[in-house]
Order: sequence, then structure tokens, then C-alpha cells
Amino acid sequence: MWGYVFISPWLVGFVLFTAGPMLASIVLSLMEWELIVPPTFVGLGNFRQLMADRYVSISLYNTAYYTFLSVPLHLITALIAAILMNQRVRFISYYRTLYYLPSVTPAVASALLWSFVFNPDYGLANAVLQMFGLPAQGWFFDPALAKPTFILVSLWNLGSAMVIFLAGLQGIPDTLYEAASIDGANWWAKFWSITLPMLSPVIFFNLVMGIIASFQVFTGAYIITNGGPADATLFYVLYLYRNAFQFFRMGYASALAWVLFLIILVFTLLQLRLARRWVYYEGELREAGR
Amino acid sequence: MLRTALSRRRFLAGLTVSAGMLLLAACAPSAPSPTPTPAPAAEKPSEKPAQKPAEAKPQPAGSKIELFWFLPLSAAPEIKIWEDFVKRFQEAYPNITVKGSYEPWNDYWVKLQTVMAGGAVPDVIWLHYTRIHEWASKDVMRPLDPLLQTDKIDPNEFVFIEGFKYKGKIYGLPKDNGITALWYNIDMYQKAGVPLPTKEMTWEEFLERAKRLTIDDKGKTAADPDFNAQKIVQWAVTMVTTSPRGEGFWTWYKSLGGKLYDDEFKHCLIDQPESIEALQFMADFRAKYRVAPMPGAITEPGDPFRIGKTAGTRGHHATAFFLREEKRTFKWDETFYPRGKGGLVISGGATGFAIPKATRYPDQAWILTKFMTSEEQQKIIIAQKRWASGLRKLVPLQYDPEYHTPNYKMIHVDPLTGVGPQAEPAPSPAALAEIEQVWNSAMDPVWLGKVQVKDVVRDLKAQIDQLLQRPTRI
Repeated sequence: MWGYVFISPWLVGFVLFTAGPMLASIVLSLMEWELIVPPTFVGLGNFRQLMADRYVSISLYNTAYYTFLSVPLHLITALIAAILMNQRVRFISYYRTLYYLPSVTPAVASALLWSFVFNPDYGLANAVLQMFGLPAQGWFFDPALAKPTFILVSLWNLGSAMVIFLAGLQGIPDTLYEAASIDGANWWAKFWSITLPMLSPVIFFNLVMGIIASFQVFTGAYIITNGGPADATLFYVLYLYRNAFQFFRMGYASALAWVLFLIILVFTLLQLRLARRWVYYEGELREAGR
Repeated sequence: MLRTALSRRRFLAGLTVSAGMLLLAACAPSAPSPTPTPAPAAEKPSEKPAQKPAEAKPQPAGSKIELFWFLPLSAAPEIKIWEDFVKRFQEAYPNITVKGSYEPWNDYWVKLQTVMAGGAVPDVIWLHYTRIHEWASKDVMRPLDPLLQTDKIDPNEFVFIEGFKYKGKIYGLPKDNGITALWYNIDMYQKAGVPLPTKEMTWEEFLERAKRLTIDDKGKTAADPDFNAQKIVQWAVTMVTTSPRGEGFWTWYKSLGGKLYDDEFKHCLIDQPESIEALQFMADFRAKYRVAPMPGAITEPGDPFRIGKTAGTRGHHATAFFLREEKRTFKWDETFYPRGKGGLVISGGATGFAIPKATRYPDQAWILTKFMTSEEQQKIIIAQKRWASGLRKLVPLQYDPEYHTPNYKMIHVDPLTGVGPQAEPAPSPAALAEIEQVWNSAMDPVWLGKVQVKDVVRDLKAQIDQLLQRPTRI
């Protein structure tokens, strides 16, 4: 019983501030509620409206575009960074801190910083392009480039994934590499046949978390572009926010939130299913072989 | 010792029920304050008692009541001024205390709606005239006409009262005013050898002057063939807002001949040829001629005009206050926006006090509203120079020849006091927030110079029509 008592602060918090609002939002998704007027029951009306809402399609497309490009890129760069940070060189702990630092920088401060870097007239990015004789770009202000620019910016924040990869890399027994070296394996063979399979549970974890986080992309678009230009960065959560806190359509915003929840759930379940084909759990094999 | 076995299931069930009850308790509307008491009319015999609206509940006399008002204020000096008003009000009405919630302007609307949803309905709120249709159409505001009639107050004593009407009824009393003007930096005009703008100037003339005021890092102007638009260091004017909210957009667009909605707010008129032409001129002004900064072009903090990056800006009377407070050393003046096919347009607006329908103390809320819009208090408001008056007869007192330039009277006094053409508020339908979204979505590429107005306007009109025709509660 004492165990439950000890965890009850968290449980009470969870029920009050997570599960409770979630349940409330299910009910609200069936209501039309503009905050200052009493809610009215509309059944599945919000969901029907959502199917025909062009901004839902636009924001879903934008979010999917961002997710499917940024997550793989993010994983690859974080893995490369982790491999570099796993080298036995001097001052390595300082390098690790340096790479992790952006993860603890406030998102709003980072967003403002990047808006300066990619400023079309005075930004550092265009200055570099022009140094090489390349034309200046509109970056966040160009509808064709705004999303790729956000993807580029997302790479700045690779610290958390890098640390998890680093922990995974350090958990791979040296004996495996030693055995491979004796067999004459080169660097690539060791990476492909030892590092990647042994790291696959960590890659899987970062993939799942990365997709979940990417579907909820919000801060940068809210601060830098506010969804523009021409809706190029109108991500799903930004549209949800607008409905909730600018148009005060809480019922519709709740319906949007539940659709997002279902999308993320489907993607996560799909990944769990696909994981059986490519994720290697050494522990499971040991269990099976015992 | 008796020991009761507690299964995990029972524990979790109990926890869920308890937390659920706590949640319900937390979400319930706040408990009403002690039984309210109206301020006895005898407290201030000169004030006529406000008519008791239908929603007002009978209240026993004898005890004090507390009004709750919700205002968008964040700077400490501003809050101090408003707290002094509260002090004076409480001295005049000892049985009423006023508790204020002061929120920064950016958070104001979200917090206001959130506290109202939580059951803590303020008794008096600030509403900007562009939000009157939105709020009134939801049937959450109290029409003030019966109260004005009972107290024999002529609504036309207030400036921009038309902006506070929805379907013929008045939902707020203006407490200030602001008329849009073109402010300009005389030093920059003189340095560029460009004639100062006048009220007779046309948009075409202004564009030609603007080109000569827009300068790149090599000193070339936008009128020169080798002008480098990527290295602009000074622009002619800060772009007015590109979305159809408020008088900044309206003054420019209407003077160019553009139309937004029909009189009943049922149809959008931006697909008419003169509207398309007006919007295209506005887009070209920035994206083609580059005489106004593109989004993100100015990275320095602060207002581009006041920090000397642009030679002109859209502003209202308070621009003089800020220039003086910031001790700007350049010479400045103001005039009307240029004329176009729509002639000279003078547009302005106001914020005012409004009373939510669900207030617990409608009579006292009305007394506070009257107090704040009374001549005595309005005189104190305009003495700050930061705000202008909501009362028409006090508008001439705003002008201080030692503080303002001579054009001040022509722009900020005459158009509200029956001299020459009169100022009008910008049209603001109930669905304005959502109209802004579809507008920005379609018009962003136009403002960036990537698409022509005629290519987006029909689809945009259809979307806006849909929003205009959406049913409202009243």
C-alpha cells in the first residue's frame, strides 16, 4: 500500500492535469464551445467539418512534409554527432556539452536567433551564399523554402537524441569490435554489422519520439512565420492553437487534437509492428536461448 | 490491529474518483461573492440611477460589493493611472470596490475569454471596436441603449459610436479615440530634397516621392536604375497592416477605391475591379517598388519610424507622445493619407467599456462605465497626452500647440467635431478573426510579389462570403 501512497502525488497530478483534461476534451470535441457562450452538443459535427476544412489538409500536408524529412535527417545527424562524441580525444566532455547546449536553449530564443540568421536582407545565410556567388534566398519568407528552412533549423536541436545515441554506443561491448577486427572487418563492416544492429533499439526509440515530437511542431512557426507565407508553415498544432485561442472554437480545437492523437497513435503502432523486422534486442535473444 | 487489504485496482479506482471530484470542483464556476448590494442612489445624487436590466437580480441593501474589471495594461505607469481612477471611483462610491486584472495587450483576449469560461465573468471589460460585432453576435454583451435612454445620455456625445453598434444596438462606450495619419520625418525628406507630404497629395505622387526616399547602402534611391533592392538602408514608409483589421488598412485601401463588404456584411466586395486595382497598388508599393520594408527586412528592435529606419509611418495621435517620451531628435509632422480614386479617407477607432451580460452587478457596472466615460475622468485621461478622448466635446482639448504640430488639429480634432470630412471606423464583421486567416493565406504571396491580386481574389471572396454568412446567435 505504501508504494501507492508514495506514487500518489504523480498519479493525482496525472489524473488531474493529463487524464482529466483528455477526457474533458473528448466531450468537448462533440460540442460547439466558444468559451464565453455555453457549449452546445453537435455530435460528430466538428469531425465532419474537419474533413472538409481546407486548412486541415494544408496543415496536415505541411506537418507530414516536415516530419518525414526532418526526422530521418535529425536521426542521421544525431547519430553522426554521437559517433564523433564517442571518440577518445581530449576535451571530449566539452564538445559533448557544446553539442548538447542548444537542447537547453529556450525555444523562443532559438527561434529569434534563426530568424536573424535567415533574414533575407541581412542574414548570415545569405551572406554566405553571396560569398560563393550564389543568389540570396527568401528563406522563411519564401513559400517554397519556408518548410525546408524549418527542417534545417530543426537540426540545431539534436542534443537529446545525440545523448541517447551516445549512451547506446557506449553500451555496445568492445569484445564485438575486437572479434570483428580479428576477422579482418574494416570500419564500415563493423559499423554496418555491429554498431547499427546493436544500436537499433535506440534508433527505434529516437525514431518514435522524433515522429511524435515532429507532429507537434509549433514554436518556431508561431514565433517566426505565424504559419505564413501563404500557409507554407501552417503546421497542424499551430492551426489547432489558432482555433482554440484566436477563434475561440474550443470544441473544434478538441476534435483537431483527437485527430492528431489518432494519427500519432497509428504511426506509433505501425512503427512498433515494423520494428519486429529491423530492431534487434540482444536481451530477447538471450532469453530465448536460455 | 485491523488491516484492510488494498488492492491495486481499488486504490486506483479510489484515486481516480477523488481526483475526478477535485477536477470537477476545480472546473466549477467560482462561487459567487457575498450577496451584492447596489450603491445607493443617494451616494451621488447628481448621477441618475441606471435602469435595471432584465438579468439583474434583486440585491439587498447594506453591504459592500466588489466589481471586477479586466483591462489590457502592462506598463507600471499606466497601471498606476488606472488605479488612481479606481481610487477616485471608490471615494465617490464607498459601497463599491473595484478589483482590476491587468493583462498585456497580446494576452488580453485569450485571458479574458478564459476567465469568462471559468465563470469569473468581469463586470466591466475593455473592448476594441473591431471586436464589437464578434462579441455582440455571441449574445454575451449587454446592450447599453436602455441605460443611455434612462440616463438621457446622447450616444452621439461619444466619438466613433457607430463602431460600437451591432444590428443597431450599442454595446460599448468609447473611452478614447485614434485617427490614422501619415507621420513623416522632416529631416529625411529635406535631406532627400523631396517635398513634404500634404493632404492634397495623391497616391501616385506619394509613390514618386517614396522612391526618392528609399535609399540603398551606396546612396542610390529606388528611382535610380542601379538601385540595389537587397541593400536598402532607408525606406520611405513603414507598410501598413496587410490584413483587413482596423483603420490602418482601411484608410489606405478605401482611399485607393477599394471596397471590403456590403452594408449588411453578407458579401465581400474584393473581387470588384476597383478593389483589385487598390490591392494591387498596395502590393506593388512594397514588393515591386520596394519603398516599404519587406517582412523581416528590419532587424533592429523598436518602431522603424521612431528609430530612423523609415521616413514615414502610419500612426495616430500617440505617435507624438512616444517620440517625445523617447526624446527623438529629428523633426516630424503628420498629415492625412494620400488621396486616390476613393478620395480623402479619414478613418479611426476607439476602445471602450462594455458590460458582459453575465455580470452579477449590472447596475454598478453601468455606474463604473459612466464614471470612466464622464467628462471629469476623460479630462484626466487626455491630460496624459497618451490617450485621446472618447467624448466628442473634449476632443478640442486634446490639442496642445506647445506639444503638437499645427496639423494635429486638422487630423485629430476637426474630423471628430464636425469640421470638414468626418472620421469613420473600419468595417469589422463578426467573423473578422477567421477572415484574417483566409485573407493572409491567400494574400501572402501577393504581398511578397509572387502572385497577382486578380489570381487569388475570387477564391478568397468565396471563402470570406462563407464566413460572413455563417449563422450567429443574434
